[in-house]
Amino acid sequence: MAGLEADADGIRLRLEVTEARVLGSLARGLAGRIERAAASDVTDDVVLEPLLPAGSRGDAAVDAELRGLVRDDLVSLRSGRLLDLADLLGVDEGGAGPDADLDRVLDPDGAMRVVEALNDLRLALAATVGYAGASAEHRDGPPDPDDAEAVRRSETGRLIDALAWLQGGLIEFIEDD
Amino acid sequence: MPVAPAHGATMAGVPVLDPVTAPAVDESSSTDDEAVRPWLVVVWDDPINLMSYVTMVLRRVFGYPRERAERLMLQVHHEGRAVVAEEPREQAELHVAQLHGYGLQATLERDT
Repeated sequence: MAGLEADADGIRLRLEVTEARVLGSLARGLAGRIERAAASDVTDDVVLEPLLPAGSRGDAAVDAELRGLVRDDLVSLRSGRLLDLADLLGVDEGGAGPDADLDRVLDPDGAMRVVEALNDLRLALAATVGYAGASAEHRDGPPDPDDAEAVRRSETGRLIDALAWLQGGLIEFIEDD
Repeated sequence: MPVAPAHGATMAGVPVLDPVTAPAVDESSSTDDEAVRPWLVVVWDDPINLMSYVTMVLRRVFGYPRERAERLMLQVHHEGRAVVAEEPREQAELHVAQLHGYGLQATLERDT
């Protein structure tokens, strides 16, 4: 079970091996997706929409100009920190690892990098299922077990909320510093 | 707001120009106005970005004190959007780009 606790040198992050493996794989997978989309100039990937957002709503010229200015930087910023997260969690380029539970102490800068990468993951996961927020998920109740899509949405929603807990705890540590 | 003088009237002997014969509007002055008019940096609500995260990002990007950042965050949360800065275009573009880097849904708008 994931855990955070204060440490003399920073904040201690603990993840079970399966948690680290899932999270690291997601991070590496999303980094690859971002890089492939950038390389092929893809602009209609719904998962990447919140990660490469509009620069203006209602002014196409301003939007196009801002997107053109920042797209490359956003791509390298996001893929860089997602790959850093995957490395931290011990998932290599081939998708293998880790072999043991994670137990690492993060300083404020390291914690901030993780916070930002977790945010990217949550945005992308939400985009895959049209996530409407924790309160909406709670209000809708458990899914029909025979509805595979509803089950997938629910499981993804729970993952998003779990990552939110992790992210929130790290933010508390960073802001207290 | 001042009241315009009647047609042909003078103010202290200075003739008021007839609008029909008045010179055309200087286009460069309206361009100058547009050049100095601030641009708005707008942050939009979304179901993912945590309130604590938005507050932290506003502090980091704009250097706002916690109270101001929280007030703006709550405005985003309750009203769906908030103008978080009014500044020259170049600076506004930089800040929108930084906010995008943190994952916030932020846009640039002309100040009307």
